[in-house]
Amino acid sequence: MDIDNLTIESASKGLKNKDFSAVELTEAYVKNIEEKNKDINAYLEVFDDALDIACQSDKRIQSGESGKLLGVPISIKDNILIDGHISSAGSRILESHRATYDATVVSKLKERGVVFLGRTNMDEFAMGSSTENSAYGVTLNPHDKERVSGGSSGGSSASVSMNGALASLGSDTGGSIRQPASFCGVVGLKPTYGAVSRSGLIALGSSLDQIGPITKTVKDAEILFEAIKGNDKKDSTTLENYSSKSGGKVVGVPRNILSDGVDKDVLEHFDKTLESLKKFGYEIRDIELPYKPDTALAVYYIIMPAEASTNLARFDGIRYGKKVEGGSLFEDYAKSRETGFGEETKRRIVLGTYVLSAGYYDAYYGKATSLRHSITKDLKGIFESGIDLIATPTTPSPSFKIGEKSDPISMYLEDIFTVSANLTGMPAISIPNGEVDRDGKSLPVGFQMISPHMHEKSLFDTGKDIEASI
Amino acid sequence: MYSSSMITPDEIEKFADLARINISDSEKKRFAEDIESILGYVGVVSENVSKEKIEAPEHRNVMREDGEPHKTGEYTEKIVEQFPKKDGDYLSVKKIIEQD
Repeated sequence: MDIDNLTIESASKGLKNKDFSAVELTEAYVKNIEEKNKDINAYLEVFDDALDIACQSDKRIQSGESGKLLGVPISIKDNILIDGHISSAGSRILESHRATYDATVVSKLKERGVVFLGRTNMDEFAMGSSTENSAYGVTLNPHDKERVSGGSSGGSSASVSMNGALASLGSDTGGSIRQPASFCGVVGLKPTYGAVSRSGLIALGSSLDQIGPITKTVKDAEILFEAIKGNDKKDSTTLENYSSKSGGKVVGVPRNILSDGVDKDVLEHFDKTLESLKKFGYEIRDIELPYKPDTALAVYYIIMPAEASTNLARFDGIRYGKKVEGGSLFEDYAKSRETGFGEETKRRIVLGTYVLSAGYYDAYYGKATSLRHSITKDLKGIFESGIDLIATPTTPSPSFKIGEKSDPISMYLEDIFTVSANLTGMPAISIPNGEVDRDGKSLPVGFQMISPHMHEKSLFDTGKDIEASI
Repeated sequence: MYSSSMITPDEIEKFADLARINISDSEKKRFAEDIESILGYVGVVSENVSKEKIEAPEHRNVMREDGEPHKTGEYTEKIVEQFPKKDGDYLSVKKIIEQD
Protein backbone atom coordinates (compact mmCIF):
# COMPACT_ATOMS: atom_id res chain seq x y z
CA MET A 1 0.00 0.00 0.00
CA ASP A 2 1.46 3.32 -1.13
CA ILE A 3 -0.15 5.90 1.13
CA ASP A 4 1.82 8.74 -0.48
CA ASN A 5 -0.27 8.35 -3.62
CA LEU A 6 -3.53 7.23 -2.10
CA THR A 7 -6.72 9.32 -2.39
CA ILE A 8 -10.19 8.74 -0.94
CA GLU A 9 -11.21 7.55 -4.39
CA SER A 10 -8.38 5.02 -4.79
CA ALA A 11 -8.42 3.91 -1.14
CA SER A 12 -12.10 3.10 -1.27
CA LYS A 13 -11.48 1.00 -4.39
CA GLY A 14 -8.65 -0.78 -2.59
CA LEU A 15 -10.91 -1.47 0.39
CA LYS A 16 -13.72 -2.72 -1.83
CA ASN A 17 -11.39 -5.02 -3.77
CA LYS A 18 -9.91 -6.30 -0.48
CA ASP A 19 -6.41 -5.15 -1.51
CA PHE A 20 -6.12 -4.02 2.09
CA SER A 21 -8.42 -3.79 5.10
CA ALA A 22 -9.55 -0.65 6.93
CA VAL A 23 -7.47 -1.78 9.91
CA GLU A 24 -4.35 -2.11 7.72
CA LEU A 25 -5.03 1.28 6.17
CA THR A 26 -5.51 2.92 9.57
CA GLU A 27 -2.36 1.24 10.92
CA ALA A 28 -0.35 2.58 7.99
CA TYR A 29 -1.53 6.14 8.72
CA VAL A 30 -0.97 5.84 12.47
CA LYS A 31 2.58 4.60 11.78
CA ASN A 32 3.24 7.51 9.45
CA ILE A 33 1.85 9.97 12.00
CA GLU A 34 4.14 8.50 14.67
CA GLU A 35 7.13 9.10 12.40
CA LYS A 36 6.28 12.55 11.12
CA ASN A 37 4.14 14.31 13.69
CA LYS A 38 6.96 15.00 16.13
CA ASP A 39 8.53 17.28 13.51
CA ILE A 40 5.33 18.80 12.15
CA ASN A 41 2.91 19.02 15.13
CA ALA A 42 -0.15 18.59 12.91
CA TYR A 43 -1.94 16.33 15.40
CA LEU A 44 -2.71 17.29 18.99
CA GLU A 45 -3.94 13.77 19.70
CA VAL A 46 -4.22 10.47 17.87
CA PHE A 47 -7.42 8.75 19.01
CA ASP A 48 -6.96 5.41 20.73
CA ASP A 49 -10.27 4.14 19.35
CA ALA A 50 -9.28 4.59 15.67
CA LEU A 51 -8.39 0.92 15.17
CA ASP A 52 -11.61 -0.26 16.86
CA ILE A 53 -13.63 1.89 14.48
CA ALA A 54 -11.59 0.64 11.51
CA CYS A 55 -12.39 -2.89 12.68
CA GLN A 56 -16.12 -2.08 12.67
CA SER A 57 -15.80 -0.65 9.16
CA ASP A 58 -14.08 -3.87 8.06
CA LYS A 59 -17.02 -5.88 9.39
CA ARG A 60 -19.38 -3.67 7.40
CA ILE A 61 -17.28 -4.21 4.25
CA GLN A 62 -17.24 -7.97 4.86
CA SER A 63 -21.01 -8.00 5.20
CA GLY A 64 -21.23 -6.61 1.68
CA GLU A 65 -21.78 -2.94 2.47
CA SER A 66 -20.03 -0.45 0.23
CA GLY A 67 -19.52 3.30 0.27
CA LYS A 68 -16.97 5.82 -0.86
CA LEU A 69 -16.05 6.68 2.73
CA LEU A 70 -16.44 3.29 4.40
CA GLY A 71 -13.14 2.59 6.21
CA VAL A 72 -11.52 5.86 5.08
CA PRO A 73 -9.24 7.41 7.76
CA ILE A 74 -9.42 11.19 8.13
CA SER A 75 -8.34 13.82 10.66
CA ILE A 76 -10.51 16.51 12.21
CA LYS A 77 -9.92 20.06 13.36
CA ASP A 78 -9.85 20.48 17.12
CA ASN A 79 -12.97 22.70 17.12
CA ILE A 80 -15.37 20.04 15.78
CA LEU A 81 -16.93 17.86 18.48
CA ILE A 82 -16.67 14.08 18.65
CA ASP A 83 -18.63 12.60 21.55
CA GLY A 84 -16.33 11.56 24.40
CA HIS A 85 -13.17 13.03 22.87
CA ILE A 86 -11.36 16.14 24.01
CA SER A 87 -12.11 19.14 21.84
CA SER A 88 -10.02 22.15 22.84
CA ALA A 89 -10.20 24.55 19.86
CA GLY A 90 -6.46 25.05 20.32
CA SER A 91 -7.10 26.76 23.67
CA ARG A 92 -6.00 26.23 27.27
CA ILE A 93 -9.48 27.12 28.49
CA LEU A 94 -10.80 23.89 26.91
CA GLU A 95 -7.73 21.68 27.36
CA SER A 96 -9.64 19.03 29.30
CA HIS A 97 -13.06 19.65 27.74
CA ARG A 98 -14.69 16.44 26.54
CA ALA A 99 -17.43 16.76 23.93
CA THR A 100 -20.84 15.62 25.16
CA TYR A 101 -22.26 14.97 21.69
CA ASP A 102 -21.23 14.51 18.04
CA ALA A 103 -21.18 17.44 15.63
CA THR A 104 -23.68 16.83 12.83
CA VAL A 105 -20.84 16.45 10.29
CA VAL A 106 -19.26 13.84 12.57
CA SER A 107 -22.44 11.79 12.96
CA LYS A 108 -22.94 11.89 9.18
CA LEU A 109 -19.41 10.60 8.62
CA LYS A 110 -19.68 7.97 11.39
CA GLU A 111 -22.78 6.58 9.64
CA ARG A 112 -20.70 6.24 6.49
CA GLY A 113 -17.95 4.34 8.32
CA VAL A 114 -15.26 7.04 8.35
CA VAL A 115 -12.36 6.40 10.76
CA PHE A 116 -11.33 9.49 12.75
CA LEU A 117 -7.59 9.28 13.29
CA GLY A 118 -7.20 12.23 15.62
CA ARG A 119 -7.68 15.94 16.18
CA THR A 120 -5.52 18.54 14.51
CA ASN A 121 -3.85 21.73 15.66
CA MET A 122 -5.30 25.17 14.98
CA ASP A 123 -5.02 28.81 15.97
CA GLU A 124 -6.88 29.30 19.24
CA PHE A 125 -10.62 29.45 18.47
CA ALA A 126 -9.66 29.66 14.77
CA MET A 127 -8.22 33.17 15.23
CA GLY A 128 -5.17 33.33 13.03
CA SER A 129 -3.49 32.47 9.75
CA SER A 130 -0.48 30.44 10.90
CA THR A 131 -1.37 28.24 13.94
CA GLU A 132 1.12 30.40 15.86
CA ASN A 133 -1.82 31.37 18.10
CA SER A 134 -2.39 27.76 19.19
CA ALA A 135 -1.82 27.10 22.89
CA TYR A 136 -0.09 23.88 21.81
CA GLY A 137 2.67 25.22 19.56
CA VAL A 138 2.89 25.97 15.86
CA THR A 139 2.28 23.42 13.10
CA LEU A 140 5.25 23.38 10.74
CA ASN A 141 4.85 23.30 7.00
CA PRO A 142 5.69 19.82 5.62
CA HIS A 143 7.29 21.54 2.58
CA ASP A 144 9.66 23.68 4.69
CA LYS A 145 9.91 23.26 8.44
CA GLU A 146 11.03 26.85 8.95
CA ARG A 147 7.66 28.01 7.68
CA VAL A 148 4.08 27.92 8.91
CA SER A 149 1.40 25.58 7.64
CA GLY A 150 -1.05 28.48 7.47
CA GLY A 151 -4.18 28.75 9.53
CA SER A 152 -6.33 28.48 11.22
CA SER A 153 -6.85 24.92 9.87
CA GLY A 154 -3.06 24.48 9.66
CA GLY A 155 -2.98 21.13 11.47
CA SER A 156 -5.68 19.73 9.19
CA SER A 157 -3.89 20.86 6.02
CA ALA A 158 -0.48 19.64 7.22
CA SER A 159 -1.95 16.28 8.26
CA VAL A 160 -3.11 15.67 4.66
CA SER A 161 0.04 17.13 3.12
CA MET A 162 2.35 14.89 5.20
CA ASN A 163 0.20 11.83 4.34
CA GLY A 164 -0.96 11.58 7.93
CA ALA A 165 -4.59 11.34 6.79
CA LEU A 166 -6.46 10.80 3.53
CA ALA A 167 -8.44 13.98 4.14
CA SER A 168 -9.50 16.33 6.90
CA LEU A 169 -12.33 18.57 8.01
CA GLY A 170 -11.55 22.20 8.74
CA SER A 171 -13.54 25.36 9.32
CA ASP A 172 -13.33 28.61 7.37
CA THR A 173 -14.37 32.00 8.78
CA GLY A 174 -12.21 34.29 6.62
CA GLY A 175 -9.95 31.89 4.74
CA SER A 176 -9.06 29.32 7.40
CA ILE A 177 -9.49 26.33 5.07
CA ARG A 178 -8.27 27.85 1.80
CA GLN A 179 -5.13 29.67 3.00
CA PRO A 180 -3.54 26.67 4.82
CA ALA A 181 -4.61 24.37 1.96
CA SER A 182 -2.76 26.72 -0.39
CA PHE A 183 0.35 26.80 1.85
CA CYS A 184 0.42 23.00 2.18
CA GLY A 185 -0.34 22.11 -1.44
CA VAL A 186 -3.75 20.52 -0.91
CA VAL A 187 -7.36 21.24 -1.94
CA GLY A 188 -9.61 23.22 0.42
CA LEU A 189 -13.30 24.09 0.02
CA LYS A 190 -15.30 26.74 1.88
CA PRO A 191 -18.91 25.76 1.08
CA THR A 192 -21.90 28.08 0.60
CA TYR A 193 -23.08 29.55 3.91
CA GLY A 194 -25.84 27.20 5.05
CA ALA A 195 -24.78 24.21 2.94
CA VAL A 196 -23.17 22.37 5.88
CA SER A 197 -24.47 22.23 9.46
CA ARG A 198 -22.36 23.90 12.15
CA SER A 199 -24.02 22.05 15.02
CA GLY A 200 -21.05 20.91 17.12
CA LEU A 201 -18.58 23.41 15.65
CA ILE A 202 -17.10 25.71 18.33
CA ALA A 203 -18.25 29.06 16.95
CA LEU A 204 -16.00 31.98 15.98
CA GLY A 205 -18.06 34.27 13.74
CA SER A 206 -21.49 32.75 13.33
CA SER A 207 -22.49 34.71 10.22
CA LEU A 208 -19.23 33.64 8.52
CA ASP A 209 -18.22 30.13 9.72
CA GLN A 210 -18.52 27.06 7.50
CA ILE A 211 -17.10 23.54 7.86
CA GLY A 212 -15.44 22.16 4.75
CA PRO A 213 -13.15 19.44 3.39
CA ILE A 214 -9.36 19.52 2.97
CA THR A 215 -8.21 16.83 0.55
CA LYS A 216 -5.58 15.80 -1.97
CA THR A 217 -7.85 16.03 -5.01
CA VAL A 218 -10.92 17.97 -6.13
CA LYS A 219 -12.83 14.70 -6.55
CA ASP A 220 -12.10 13.82 -2.90
CA ALA A 221 -13.33 17.25 -1.78
CA GLU A 222 -16.54 16.61 -3.70
CA ILE A 223 -17.00 13.17 -2.09
CA LEU A 224 -16.52 14.57 1.41
CA PHE A 225 -18.68 17.65 0.76
CA GLU A 226 -21.54 15.51 -0.59
CA ALA A 227 -21.38 13.44 2.61
CA ILE A 228 -21.51 16.36 5.09
CA LYS A 229 -23.87 18.81 3.38
CA GLY A 230 -27.57 19.13 4.01
CA ASN A 231 -30.29 20.71 6.08
CA ASP A 232 -30.09 20.09 9.82
CA LYS A 233 -32.73 20.92 12.37
CA LYS A 234 -29.94 21.55 14.89
CA ASP A 235 -28.58 24.46 12.78
CA SER A 236 -31.34 26.84 11.74
CA THR A 237 -29.03 28.58 9.25
CA THR A 238 -28.78 25.48 7.05
CA LEU A 239 -30.53 25.84 3.71
CA GLU A 240 -33.71 23.87 3.17
CA ASN A 241 -33.42 23.62 -0.57
CA TYR A 242 -29.71 23.24 -1.17
CA SER A 243 -28.75 21.57 -4.43
CA SER A 244 -25.30 21.84 -5.95
CA LYS A 245 -25.39 23.63 -9.31
CA SER A 246 -22.94 23.63 -12.17
CA GLY A 247 -22.13 26.72 -14.17
CA GLY A 248 -20.61 27.99 -17.40
CA LYS A 249 -17.04 28.52 -18.49
CA VAL A 250 -16.52 32.27 -18.21
CA VAL A 251 -13.82 33.07 -15.65
CA GLY A 252 -13.59 36.66 -14.42
CA VAL A 253 -10.20 37.96 -13.29
CA PRO A 254 -10.16 41.16 -11.19
CA ARG A 255 -6.94 42.55 -12.66
CA ASN A 256 -7.30 45.83 -10.79
CA ILE A 257 -6.59 44.12 -7.46
CA LEU A 258 -3.78 41.85 -8.69
CA SER A 259 -1.45 44.55 -10.03
CA ASP A 260 -0.15 45.45 -6.61
CA GLY A 261 1.14 43.29 -3.76
CA VAL A 262 1.05 39.86 -5.38
CA ASP A 263 4.44 38.09 -5.74
CA LYS A 264 5.60 38.05 -9.37
CA ASP A 265 6.06 34.27 -9.58
CA VAL A 266 2.73 33.63 -7.83
CA LEU A 267 1.06 35.75 -10.51
CA GLU A 268 2.95 33.92 -13.26
CA HIS A 269 1.63 30.57 -12.03
CA PHE A 270 -1.85 32.03 -11.85
CA ASP A 271 -1.68 33.39 -15.42
CA LYS A 272 -0.28 30.12 -16.73
CA THR A 273 -3.23 28.21 -15.30
CA LEU A 274 -5.68 30.70 -16.78
CA GLU A 275 -3.98 30.24 -20.14
CA SER A 276 -4.27 26.45 -19.95
CA LEU A 277 -7.95 26.71 -19.01
CA LYS A 278 -8.56 28.25 -22.43
CA LYS A 279 -7.65 24.88 -23.96
CA PHE A 280 -10.54 23.38 -22.02
CA GLY A 281 -12.95 25.85 -23.64
CA TYR A 282 -12.91 28.51 -20.94
CA GLU A 283 -13.19 32.19 -21.70
CA ILE A 284 -11.03 34.41 -19.48
CA ARG A 285 -12.42 37.91 -19.03
CA ASP A 286 -10.95 40.86 -17.14
CA ILE A 287 -13.37 42.29 -14.62
CA GLU A 288 -13.22 45.16 -12.22
CA LEU A 289 -14.21 44.69 -8.60
CA PRO A 290 -16.29 47.71 -7.58
CA TYR A 291 -14.84 47.61 -4.08
CA LYS A 292 -11.25 47.56 -2.89
CA PRO A 293 -10.07 44.32 -1.25
CA ASP A 294 -8.85 46.49 1.65
CA THR A 295 -12.45 47.51 2.27
CA ALA A 296 -13.62 43.89 2.40
CA LEU A 297 -10.82 43.07 4.83
CA ALA A 298 -11.70 46.06 7.02
CA VAL A 299 -15.37 45.02 7.08
CA TYR A 300 -14.32 41.49 8.00
CA TYR A 301 -12.03 42.62 10.83
CA ILE A 302 -14.94 44.52 12.40
CA ILE A 303 -17.69 41.91 12.00
CA MET A 304 -15.60 38.86 12.96
CA PRO A 305 -14.24 40.20 16.30
CA ALA A 306 -17.69 41.56 17.15
CA GLU A 307 -19.19 38.10 16.68
CA ALA A 308 -16.22 36.42 18.37
CA SER A 309 -16.56 38.61 21.46
CA THR A 310 -20.17 37.51 21.89
CA ASN A 311 -19.59 33.86 20.98
CA LEU A 312 -16.68 33.54 23.39
CA ALA A 313 -18.70 34.95 26.30
CA ARG A 314 -19.81 31.37 26.98
CA PHE A 315 -16.34 30.37 28.20
CA ASP A 316 -16.61 31.47 31.80
CA GLY A 317 -15.19 28.65 33.92
CA ILE A 318 -18.62 27.78 35.26
CA ARG A 319 -20.17 24.96 33.25
CA TYR A 320 -17.14 23.46 31.50
CA GLY A 321 -13.53 24.25 30.76
CA LYS A 322 -10.83 25.75 32.92
CA LYS A 323 -11.86 27.40 36.18
CA VAL A 324 -9.68 29.70 38.25
CA GLU A 325 -11.16 30.66 41.61
CA GLY A 326 -11.43 34.32 42.57
CA GLY A 327 -12.97 36.20 45.46
CA SER A 328 -16.31 36.76 43.72
CA LEU A 329 -18.34 35.47 40.80
CA PHE A 330 -16.98 38.29 38.64
CA GLU A 331 -13.44 37.35 39.56
CA ASP A 332 -14.12 33.70 38.79
CA TYR A 333 -15.09 34.75 35.26
CA ALA A 334 -12.31 37.28 34.81
CA LYS A 335 -9.53 35.05 36.15
CA SER A 336 -10.67 31.93 34.31
CA ARG A 337 -10.73 33.92 31.07
CA GLU A 338 -7.42 35.63 31.80
CA THR A 339 -5.68 32.30 32.37
CA GLY A 340 -7.54 30.31 29.73
CA PHE A 341 -7.34 32.64 26.72
CA GLY A 342 -4.22 33.48 24.72
CA GLU A 343 -3.20 36.96 23.66
CA GLU A 344 -4.79 37.14 20.19
CA THR A 345 -8.09 35.84 21.59
CA LYS A 346 -8.10 38.50 24.30
CA ARG A 347 -7.16 41.16 21.76
CA ARG A 348 -10.06 40.23 19.47
CA ILE A 349 -12.54 40.01 22.33
CA VAL A 350 -11.57 43.52 23.50
CA LEU A 351 -11.66 44.81 19.91
CA GLY A 352 -15.08 43.21 19.36
CA THR A 353 -16.38 44.71 22.59
CA TYR A 354 -15.07 48.10 21.45
CA VAL A 355 -16.75 48.10 18.02
CA LEU A 356 -20.05 46.97 19.54
CA SER A 357 -20.02 49.53 22.38
CA ALA A 358 -22.66 52.27 22.28
CA GLY A 359 -20.22 55.08 21.48
CA TYR A 360 -18.55 53.36 18.51
CA TYR A 361 -21.25 51.05 17.15
CA ASP A 362 -22.37 53.35 14.33
CA ALA A 363 -18.85 54.25 13.24
CA TYR A 364 -17.67 50.65 13.00
CA TYR A 365 -20.15 47.80 13.27
CA GLY A 366 -23.04 49.72 11.69
CA LYS A 367 -20.91 50.88 8.75
CA ALA A 368 -19.38 47.44 8.30
CA THR A 369 -22.78 45.73 8.19
CA SER A 370 -23.99 48.16 5.57
CA LEU A 371 -20.85 47.73 3.46
CA ARG A 372 -21.16 43.97 3.74
CA HIS A 373 -24.55 44.27 1.99
CA SER A 374 -23.10 46.38 -0.78
CA ILE A 375 -20.15 43.98 -1.31
CA THR A 376 -22.63 41.12 -1.61
CA LYS A 377 -24.67 43.08 -4.18
CA ASP A 378 -21.47 43.93 -6.09
CA LEU A 379 -20.40 40.28 -6.37
CA LYS A 380 -23.90 39.15 -7.28
CA GLY A 381 -23.90 41.85 -9.95
CA ILE A 382 -20.68 40.47 -11.45
CA PHE A 383 -22.13 36.95 -11.59
CA GLU A 384 -25.35 38.26 -13.15
CA SER A 385 -23.31 40.02 -15.85
CA GLY A 386 -22.29 36.68 -17.42
CA ILE A 387 -19.32 35.73 -15.25
CA ASP A 388 -19.46 32.17 -13.88
CA LEU A 389 -16.39 32.14 -11.62
CA ILE A 390 -14.08 34.75 -10.12
CA ALA A 391 -10.44 33.67 -9.96
CA THR A 392 -7.52 35.05 -7.93
CA PRO A 393 -4.45 33.54 -6.30
CA THR A 394 -5.54 32.19 -2.88
CA THR A 395 -2.91 34.35 -1.16
CA PRO A 396 -0.51 37.00 -2.50
CA SER A 397 2.55 34.96 -1.38
CA PRO A 398 3.49 31.41 -0.41
CA SER A 399 3.96 30.34 3.23
CA PHE A 400 5.91 32.72 5.45
CA LYS A 401 8.52 32.00 8.10
CA ILE A 402 7.59 31.30 11.69
CA GLY A 403 7.61 34.57 13.63
CA GLU A 404 7.79 36.65 10.43
CA LYS A 405 4.43 38.37 10.87
CA SER A 406 4.56 39.64 14.39
CA ASP A 407 2.16 42.57 14.19
CA PRO A 408 -1.58 41.81 13.94
CA ILE A 409 -2.27 43.76 10.73
CA SER A 410 0.40 42.03 8.63
CA MET A 411 -1.16 38.73 9.70
CA TYR A 412 -4.69 39.97 8.92
CA LEU A 413 -3.55 40.88 5.38
CA GLU A 414 -3.17 37.12 4.71
CA ASP A 415 -6.96 37.02 4.28
CA ILE A 416 -7.11 39.75 1.62
CA PHE A 417 -8.39 37.49 -1.22
CA THR A 418 -10.35 35.04 0.88
CA VAL A 419 -12.68 37.11 3.11
CA SER A 420 -15.09 38.16 0.33
CA ALA A 421 -16.48 34.63 0.05
CA ASN A 422 -17.26 34.59 3.78
CA LEU A 423 -18.78 38.08 3.83
CA THR A 424 -21.09 37.18 0.93
CA GLY A 425 -21.74 33.54 1.90
CA MET A 426 -20.52 32.35 -1.50
CA PRO A 427 -18.57 29.10 -1.95
CA ALA A 428 -14.85 29.17 -2.80
CA ILE A 429 -12.13 26.62 -3.39
CA SER A 430 -8.33 26.65 -3.32
CA ILE A 431 -6.56 24.26 -5.69
CA PRO A 432 -2.81 23.51 -5.74
CA ASN A 433 -1.25 25.58 -8.51
CA GLY A 434 2.37 24.52 -8.69
CA GLU A 435 5.29 25.63 -6.57
CA VAL A 436 7.54 28.66 -6.30
CA ASP A 437 11.09 28.79 -5.04
CA ARG A 438 11.98 30.56 -1.77
CA ASP A 439 15.43 30.16 -0.18
CA GLY A 440 16.04 26.96 -2.12
CA LYS A 441 12.77 25.33 -1.05
CA SER A 442 9.78 24.66 -3.28
CA LEU A 443 6.62 26.08 -1.75
CA PRO A 444 3.09 25.40 -2.99
CA VAL A 445 0.76 28.18 -4.10
CA GLY A 446 -3.01 28.07 -4.56
CA PHE A 447 -5.54 29.06 -7.23
CA GLN A 448 -8.80 30.33 -5.76
CA MET A 449 -12.22 30.42 -7.41
CA ILE A 450 -15.42 31.92 -6.04
CA SER A 451 -18.78 30.93 -7.54
CA PRO A 452 -22.37 32.09 -6.93
CA HIS A 453 -24.32 30.66 -3.98
CA MET A 454 -24.84 26.88 -4.19
CA HIS A 455 -22.59 26.52 -7.26
CA GLU A 456 -20.19 24.06 -5.63
CA LYS A 457 -20.55 21.77 -8.66
CA SER A 458 -19.17 24.55 -10.81
CA LEU A 459 -16.08 24.80 -8.55
CA PHE A 460 -15.56 21.03 -8.68
CA ASP A 461 -15.96 20.83 -12.48
CA THR A 462 -13.50 23.64 -13.17
CA GLY A 463 -11.22 22.44 -10.37
CA LYS A 464 -10.90 19.06 -12.09
CA ASP A 465 -10.02 20.81 -15.35
CA ILE A 466 -7.30 22.75 -13.52
CA GLU A 467 -5.90 19.54 -12.05
CA ALA A 468 -5.86 17.99 -15.50
CA SER A 469 -4.03 21.01 -16.93
CA ILE A 470 -1.18 21.12 -14.39
CA MET B 1 -9.55 58.34 7.05
CA TYR B 2 -11.58 58.01 10.20
CA SER B 3 -9.25 59.07 12.94
CA SER B 4 -9.94 57.23 16.11
CA SER B 5 -8.94 59.28 19.08
CA MET B 6 -6.02 57.97 21.08
CA ILE B 7 -6.92 54.82 22.91
CA THR B 8 -5.60 54.68 26.44
CA PRO B 9 -4.74 51.66 28.57
CA ASP B 10 -7.54 52.79 30.93
CA GLU B 11 -10.07 52.52 28.12
CA ILE B 12 -8.79 49.06 27.28
CA GLU B 13 -9.29 48.10 30.90
CA LYS B 14 -12.93 49.25 30.75
CA PHE B 15 -13.62 47.17 27.65
CA ALA B 16 -11.82 44.18 29.14
CA ASP B 17 -14.00 44.58 32.24
CA LEU B 18 -17.10 44.60 30.06
CA ALA B 19 -15.81 41.40 28.45
CA ARG B 20 -15.07 39.88 31.89
CA ILE B 21 -11.34 39.42 31.33
CA ASN B 22 -8.53 40.40 33.65
CA ILE B 23 -5.62 41.73 31.67
CA SER B 24 -2.16 42.64 32.89
CA ASP B 25 -0.73 46.16 32.80
CA SER B 26 1.64 45.23 29.99
CA GLU B 27 -1.27 43.76 27.98
CA LYS B 28 -3.28 46.95 28.54
CA LYS B 29 -0.48 49.01 27.08
CA ARG B 30 0.14 46.65 24.18
CA PHE B 31 -3.56 46.24 23.35
CA ALA B 32 -4.03 50.02 23.38
CA GLU B 33 -1.35 50.35 20.69
CA ASP B 34 -2.50 47.31 18.67
CA ILE B 35 -6.17 48.20 18.76
CA GLU B 36 -5.49 51.78 17.83
CA SER B 37 -3.58 50.65 14.76
CA ILE B 38 -6.23 48.04 13.87
CA LEU B 39 -8.97 50.67 14.20
CA GLY B 40 -6.87 52.96 12.02
CA TYR B 41 -6.90 50.25 9.35
CA VAL B 42 -10.55 49.20 9.61
CA GLY B 43 -11.57 52.87 9.90
CA VAL B 44 -11.47 52.87 6.09
CA VAL B 45 -15.12 51.75 6.33
CA SER B 46 -16.14 55.30 7.21
CA GLU B 47 -14.67 56.58 3.91
CA ASN B 48 -16.91 54.28 1.96
CA VAL B 49 -20.37 55.69 1.82
CA SER B 50 -22.45 52.62 1.23
CA LYS B 51 -25.56 53.27 -0.79
CA GLU B 52 -27.12 50.30 0.88
CA LYS B 53 -29.46 50.95 3.70
CA ILE B 54 -29.00 48.45 6.47
CA GLU B 55 -31.92 46.38 5.45
CA ALA B 56 -32.82 43.36 7.47
CA PRO B 57 -31.32 40.26 5.88
CA GLU B 58 -33.72 37.60 4.72
CA HIS B 59 -34.86 36.58 8.17
CA ARG B 60 -36.98 33.52 8.34
CA ASN B 61 -38.53 31.76 11.22
CA VAL B 62 -37.34 28.25 11.84
CA MET B 63 -39.99 26.46 13.84
CA ARG B 64 -39.91 22.98 15.26
CA GLU B 65 -42.71 20.73 16.38
CA ASP B 66 -43.62 20.96 20.03
CA GLY B 67 -42.20 18.07 22.01
CA GLU B 68 -39.00 16.88 23.58
CA PRO B 69 -35.96 17.52 21.36
CA HIS B 70 -34.27 14.51 22.97
CA LYS B 71 -34.91 11.99 25.70
CA THR B 72 -34.95 13.54 29.17
CA GLY B 73 -31.65 12.91 30.90
CA GLU B 74 -29.91 11.65 27.78
CA TYR B 75 -26.98 14.06 28.17
CA THR B 76 -27.19 14.84 31.90
CA GLU B 77 -24.41 12.55 33.10
CA LYS B 78 -21.93 13.73 30.46
CA ILE B 79 -22.71 17.38 31.10
CA VAL B 80 -22.37 17.01 34.89
CA GLU B 81 -19.03 15.30 34.26
CA GLN B 82 -17.78 18.54 32.66
CA PHE B 83 -18.60 20.83 35.63
CA PRO B 84 -15.35 22.36 36.86
CA LYS B 85 -16.74 22.56 40.39
CA LYS B 86 -19.59 20.45 41.66
CA ASP B 87 -21.31 19.26 44.76
CA GLY B 88 -22.68 15.84 43.85
CA ASP B 89 -24.84 16.54 40.80
CA TYR B 90 -25.08 20.25 41.62
CA LEU B 91 -23.18 22.85 39.66
CA SER B 92 -21.41 24.81 42.33
CA VAL B 93 -21.17 28.59 41.77
CA LYS B 94 -20.57 31.66 43.89
CA LYS B 95 -23.33 33.95 45.06
CA ILE B 96 -24.54 36.21 42.27
CA ILE B 97 -25.72 39.10 44.43
CA GLU B 98 -23.19 40.28 46.94
CA GLN B 99 -23.71 42.57 49.89
CA ASP B 100 -21.20 45.29 50.43
